[in-house]
Amino acid sequence: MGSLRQLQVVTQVESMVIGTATFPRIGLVNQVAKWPASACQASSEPSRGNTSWDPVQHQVQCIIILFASSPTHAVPMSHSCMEHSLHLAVGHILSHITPMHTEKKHHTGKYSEDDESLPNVLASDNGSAIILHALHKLLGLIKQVHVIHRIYYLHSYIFQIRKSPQAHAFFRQMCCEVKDPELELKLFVQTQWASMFDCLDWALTLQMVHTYTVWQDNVLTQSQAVKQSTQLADDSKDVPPLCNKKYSEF
Amino acid sequence: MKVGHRICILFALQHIDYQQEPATVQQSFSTSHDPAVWQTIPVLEFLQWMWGTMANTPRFDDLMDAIGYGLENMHKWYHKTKDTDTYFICLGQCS
Repeated sequence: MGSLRQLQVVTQVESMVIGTATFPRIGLVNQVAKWPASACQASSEPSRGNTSWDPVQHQVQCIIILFASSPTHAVPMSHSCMEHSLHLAVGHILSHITPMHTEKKHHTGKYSEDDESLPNVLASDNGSAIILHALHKLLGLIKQVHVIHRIYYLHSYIFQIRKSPQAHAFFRQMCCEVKDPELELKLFVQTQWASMFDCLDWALTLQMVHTYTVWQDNVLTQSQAVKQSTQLADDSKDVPPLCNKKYSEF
Repeated sequence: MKVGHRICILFALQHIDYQQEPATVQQSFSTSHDPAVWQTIPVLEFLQWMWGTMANTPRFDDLMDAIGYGLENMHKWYHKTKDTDTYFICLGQCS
């Protein structure tokens, strides 16, 4: 493999400074694939033309062509898909605050299995330590359930609106009445972490300005479509009643 | 306004921030015309800093544990960038 000093790359970059050393015709980054190694060897600056980069097909195959003493000694290198790792990290957060996580834990009984510190506490044979440990776990559990409960409220409300065409039409009517944009309430999909952001963002756009008045006095309180629809949906003849529930409970 | 309803609103306002950062990062990685590898290290460092700050902010007390789990996972993947010189070399492209 050639050293960095011998790097010659395949982008428009002609020179680059790293630290105190200057590397002529530097290197690199042919994220790839529309420019295979063979093409790169044939031309140090391949024409990109109008072909766009396909992130789905190419992002994982980022290849660095290291030209050693001659272009024929190109060494491809691969790396992890960091976009995918981003999804995993966000997924870790969501998995601890969504209702499905609670149900999963409840079914598998993982609360006790995951408690790695419990055997040490029990081994100490100290009654107060055991009680404090139990209280600490209980407080953590309450906090977690509290967050999940709040997400569940929003999730179930959006689900009910989307499930019924009549309720959906009624919601749109309410949007018109309070002069809110006629937007769809987006549902959070467990397998798409970004849908949580969309779900909250659109819910806020549609009505949540009201709460801003508590925090910021200068924000207008004019979009209360959700509030109005929940108050009137139960009395409306156009919206079918829910089973053992009322819209106002949301 | 119902209490539960209001709680939902507060919660949405609270969550929109920590969800917005990764969504922005996702967009920067998904550029369809230019390579984005050079953005990997700066973007991951910024996201870790942002989540770390949020985890230590009283406003996100309820989410501290959840953000901690995400941050821990992000640390793991950030250290994976040491496995190859790709990301470091690509930093030159931003200059």
